Amino acid sequence: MRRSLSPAIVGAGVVGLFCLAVMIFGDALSGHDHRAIDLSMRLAAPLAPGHLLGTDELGRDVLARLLNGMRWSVGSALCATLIAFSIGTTFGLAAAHKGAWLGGALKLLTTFTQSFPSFVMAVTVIALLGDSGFWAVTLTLGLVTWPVFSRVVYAEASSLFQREYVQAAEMTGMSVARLYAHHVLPALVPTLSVLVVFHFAEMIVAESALSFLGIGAPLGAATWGAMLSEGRAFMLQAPWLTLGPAFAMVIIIVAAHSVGQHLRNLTR
Amino acid sequence: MSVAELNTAHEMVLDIRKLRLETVADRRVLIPNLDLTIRRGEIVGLVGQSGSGKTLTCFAVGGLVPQGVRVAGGEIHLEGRRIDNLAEAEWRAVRGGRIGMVFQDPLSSFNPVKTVGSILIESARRHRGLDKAAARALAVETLRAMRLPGADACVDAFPHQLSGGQRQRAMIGLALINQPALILADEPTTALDPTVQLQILALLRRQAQQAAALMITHDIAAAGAVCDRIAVMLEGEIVEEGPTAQVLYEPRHPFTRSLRDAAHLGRRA
Amino acid sequence: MFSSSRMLGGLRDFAFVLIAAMTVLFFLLRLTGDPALVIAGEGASPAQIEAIRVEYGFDRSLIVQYGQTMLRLLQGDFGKSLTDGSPALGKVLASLPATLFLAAMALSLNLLISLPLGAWLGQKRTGAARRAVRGVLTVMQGFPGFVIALLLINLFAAGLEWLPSIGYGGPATWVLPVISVVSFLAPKLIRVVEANTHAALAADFVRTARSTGASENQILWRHVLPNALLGAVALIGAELAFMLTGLVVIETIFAWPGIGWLLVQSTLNLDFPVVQAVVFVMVVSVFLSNAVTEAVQALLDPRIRGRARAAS
Repeated sequence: MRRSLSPAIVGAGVVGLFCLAVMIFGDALSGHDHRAIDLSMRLAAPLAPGHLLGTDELGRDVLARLLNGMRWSVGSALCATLIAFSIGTTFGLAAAHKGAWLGGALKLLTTFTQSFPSFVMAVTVIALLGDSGFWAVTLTLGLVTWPVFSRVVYAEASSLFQREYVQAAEMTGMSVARLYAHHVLPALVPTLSVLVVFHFAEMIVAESALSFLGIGAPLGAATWGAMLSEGRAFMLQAPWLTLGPAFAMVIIIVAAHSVGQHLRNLTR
Repeated sequence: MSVAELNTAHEMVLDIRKLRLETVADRRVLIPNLDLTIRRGEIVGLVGQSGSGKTLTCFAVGGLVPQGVRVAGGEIHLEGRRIDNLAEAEWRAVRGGRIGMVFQDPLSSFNPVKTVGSILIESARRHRGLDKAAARALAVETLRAMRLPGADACVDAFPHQLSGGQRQRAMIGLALINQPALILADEPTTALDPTVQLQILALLRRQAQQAAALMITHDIAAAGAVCDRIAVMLEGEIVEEGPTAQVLYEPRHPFTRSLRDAAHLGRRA
Repeated sequence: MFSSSRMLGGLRDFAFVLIAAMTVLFFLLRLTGDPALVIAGEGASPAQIEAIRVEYGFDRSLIVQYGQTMLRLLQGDFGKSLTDGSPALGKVLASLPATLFLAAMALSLNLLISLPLGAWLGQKRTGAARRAVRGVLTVMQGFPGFVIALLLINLFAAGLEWLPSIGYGGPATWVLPVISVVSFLAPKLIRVVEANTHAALAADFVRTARSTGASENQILWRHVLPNALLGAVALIGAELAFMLTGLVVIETIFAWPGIGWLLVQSTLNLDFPVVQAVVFVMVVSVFLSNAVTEAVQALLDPRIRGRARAAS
């Protein structure tokens, strides 16, 4: 089988590895603490001594803040996707397998979430809760977006459970766990993997948007959204303050999209 | 079963000489060397299994070879005029005008968002220069000739509103509306119910007698019902050809024999 | 054209979503703390807070309060804004036109760009130009809408100072917001139109048209495009519904006084009546937009028309 590694996938792989390094080492990779204020070096342009990407209005190293922001955004997005995936898949499977009122409830929930965009819901919930913080944002995003997974899982699993080989397996008295592990879940992997990747990309955007709006990350936290918001005031003098987080976000998202598209092509 | 009128002029409507079709990519030969002629008033059946090249031959005559295939040799003459080397603009005058095509699946072959009559009208206007009203009248008349009840309503109907048999009648009407010299029918009854198949075959036979027809089918019995001559194709080559009665009841090639036996034809009493 | 059972089903869904949304909102609002404190404002004495509590009925049980709120909503009473005392619903409806305007302009520009581009990509399958365009589209899809907005502001407003960066006024203020919205909605629509066009070109009915001698141009315009565009109506409708509710961040960036901006402001200010009214209006907008989309689909697609007639 001829394996073709498009440059996009290679790039995505590199980005992924870099992400991993950042998640582990954090802003240490930049040689600075992202919270360190240095008023003598305010708004330094990139390539200033010791500051590869410049500094912000409080003299904090931009690269360090970007790396911390990556930890926050990627971490939050990953957890939110995990939460949404777990709840959604469980619900979808249960509804598909046992049917009855679960299926009806699921349909109602789907109608609800389709009429009420998840981002608006997230904004409302988090802003009203007032509590900002990593887990408030992550949990809310996960809890608000899981219907996406359950909808897809319900549709696919429903048709799966009607297939003869699955019904036959069930009738042999196989335990539910085995049934799922050997027959149901493997068949769902292609669609779910694509969905997970694209959902992750959406979560990155959602989290950044929330912290940009000031809803989500606590004051002063170095998240990409917050950096974008703070950098707005200095667009003319220090464009790197907004360009940095903007492109960091775009790179992650494009990488995720490439992986997702690749997976989609593989499973077609 | 032959009803060819022997005293009509034996004009050669279609003359295929040494036709050769290859794939574009790796020059794999699909049809090495095909000869076939059809005279006016004749219905010739091209019978074979899928992959034998019969549909490809039909499309080559209609100038509709699929993307990855090209005509690598030989000549195709229509009414004495060479057509295989026509420029696209010239082909457009031939297609629909001198050659009419009937396709296999009438549901997918009609545009679902346009009325059935619209394409008939389009074709009539293109090849006969009629205005809208005249073209519509011609479409209605054509559908009536196809024994479509409520022809006027059918012209304004959408494909999904008609039955399979009605759609195929409309498709045949489309092929015939400009009174072409040659009708190409690709598996015209395969997608239809058995009872409807017979009706459509009868319709084809009636209509095709004014012109000439090439009918592609995998069903030798259907060919036997309609055609004057049958050519049997196997792996890109015609292995047997002759008048229908002869091919059905005294086949010479083993493949023909197997086709015939599979269709339960020609069993000695 | 519309079967009565389908309309009833739609209305039932609408009622359900509305009630569910208002219920969730109600309990959310109560969860966020004491509304009396918010109304009283900072520095209010305990006595004043208590008086407000009684006046607004916050001292009754939660269930009673819920019932009261729902009853009031049914009567169309959304209360007054806690920030400036103006009627909450009125405030929301006053912001609606700005969002509608932005959505309408963005939709028009989107269609203007995406339909031709998608159709072109669908039929031209090779070439450097095609690869370049698709590459650009892939990259564009990686840019969140608000990032594009910020970058555009960076370039055109702050940098070149060609265009204003905030506010809703003359045509100059429309440019950046509309472009921002279009640049993140367009790639998806282009892809869908491309796929539809490509599929339609390979369809049997195109072969039939070709067999009647139609030119490639005629095939494209008369046969392919109507089908391809039909398939895009669903996505266009979804994008419209999204724009009516989801332009929160874009409106905030450009200080565009629409309902997304109002939502953010009112939630940050804990202005509950307005939040309630905004959510209500958003749900209604989405349902209306979906209904319009379905109507358009039925209008354009004879297959749906036939089915609807048969079902009613």
